[in-house]
Amino acid sequence: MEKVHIVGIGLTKFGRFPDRSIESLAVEAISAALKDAAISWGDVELMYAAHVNQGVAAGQRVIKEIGPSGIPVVNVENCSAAASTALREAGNAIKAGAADLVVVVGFEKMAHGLLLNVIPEGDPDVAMGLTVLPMRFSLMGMKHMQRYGTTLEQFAQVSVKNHDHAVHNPKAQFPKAVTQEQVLASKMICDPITVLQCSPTTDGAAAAVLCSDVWLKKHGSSRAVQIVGSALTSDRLEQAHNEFTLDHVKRAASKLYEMTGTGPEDLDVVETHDCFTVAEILAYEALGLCKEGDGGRMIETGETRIGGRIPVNTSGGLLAKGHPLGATGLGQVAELVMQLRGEAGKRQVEGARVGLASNMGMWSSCVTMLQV
Amino acid sequence: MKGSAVRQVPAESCAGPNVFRAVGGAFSAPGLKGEIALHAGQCRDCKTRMFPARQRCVTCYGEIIDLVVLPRVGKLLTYTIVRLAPPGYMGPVPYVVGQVGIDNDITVLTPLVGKAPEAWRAGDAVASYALEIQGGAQDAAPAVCFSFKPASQQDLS
Repeated sequence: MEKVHIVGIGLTKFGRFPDRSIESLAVEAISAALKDAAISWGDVELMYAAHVNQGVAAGQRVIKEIGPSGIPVVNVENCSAAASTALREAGNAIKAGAADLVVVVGFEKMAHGLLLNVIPEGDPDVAMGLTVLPMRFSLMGMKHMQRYGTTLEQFAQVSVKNHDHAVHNPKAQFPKAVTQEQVLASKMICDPITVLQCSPTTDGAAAAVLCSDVWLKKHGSSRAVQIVGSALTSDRLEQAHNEFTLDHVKRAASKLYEMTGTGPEDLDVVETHDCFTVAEILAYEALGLCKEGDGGRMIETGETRIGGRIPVNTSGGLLAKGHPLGATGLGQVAELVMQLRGEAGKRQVEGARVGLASNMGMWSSCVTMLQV
Repeated sequence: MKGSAVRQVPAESCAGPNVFRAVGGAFSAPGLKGEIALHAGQCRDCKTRMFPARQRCVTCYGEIIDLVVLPRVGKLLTYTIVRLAPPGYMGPVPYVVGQVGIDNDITVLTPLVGKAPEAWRAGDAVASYALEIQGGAQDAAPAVCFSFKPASQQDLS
């Protein structure tokens, strides 16, 4: 089987850029990735563009600014999992022999305020109040508290940890520490989730340059990171029976571990989709980092902090680094690439060789494993 | 309409474009106190029940789905208080949303009304009632949807 490698990454700062277009954000990220890979735009054979609410053919609008080279452009929308899905599709294209050098870019500009809904406004479920985004995770959190005794403080600790990590990430939207007291005292949005336990709305772009084995052997790169595998699933239990779980994440992770002959014990660093604090606690369990029901206790041990047994969201996660929907999955992958290359500065996880990114988009889950 | 109180909904109001979930008959015409029975879908092949009904079976993908009447009383499994709602939501804020278990195979995601948000507890006995919702845009027409409220003695008998 053809192997796929990442030879370049590029990120804009995540934050608010009212005066910049999505094209300019995307071009900045792509240009940084091309420079990182030491290639030129003219070398690129195929581009995947991930975005969620940026209008039709946004990828082609980006190409207009970076260079209308005439290459195929594929736009990918998979809600917040768009970027990891695009990365996976790009890898599949390389494996299928369709191209040797591919750019994947994700970008998003978002409205201010909390993202509360992604379903069309006219939908009856919206009118009934059943689609509020934090609600799904609130219900999962309430159930976790009932069943396993997970506490408000444990959920809050996720936000504290990820903000602590973001302090060392110059690309993060909120590189500022918060205390458990501040997290718990912030405005309650949807019990038990307070506003400091919700990811913010964010503008930003991220890009990666992917290549085939053949390309890598010919051109070489001392800083290449291999994509060991990825798995994409969609939800069953919520769609069928209104049961809110991270079952789709668990199935994606299991499939990936099986496919790659690895297990959670092989991971050195993990980026999870902490759109809300509850999601990170549940992801510990879904990814097999701890036993089912132990997620709350795991955050308390400090194991998932930088310096701990298995650092999670060293970038600051969605909570503190920011969550520009279409760029988020590539933001996670860029963090892992920096970690595996040993270029993560003060966030560096010593000796990291294998990393996993878990990206969710409403009813989809895409997990990606990288290694050096 | 103030707060989240259930209003009596005359049967004839349960028609027209503002009756949510009425397509395919997702709930019965309300009784005098607004009581309704939800209509689930049931697969003719594998007998799996689902609420609301889908085009095809959620388990075996069977093509024929019959509507079946659900018991009105269920148990509150989990709930949350929503304190900030998006555009398009028509009811009051804060409001309560929960998952109600009916028999052992149906979970309904539903608004919960009829007592203070903080007073709800997992395990509460609840029953299905019509709920008129109005809010959001000034000119939005009221609509009727399903909800659950604390089960009365009559509901339980």
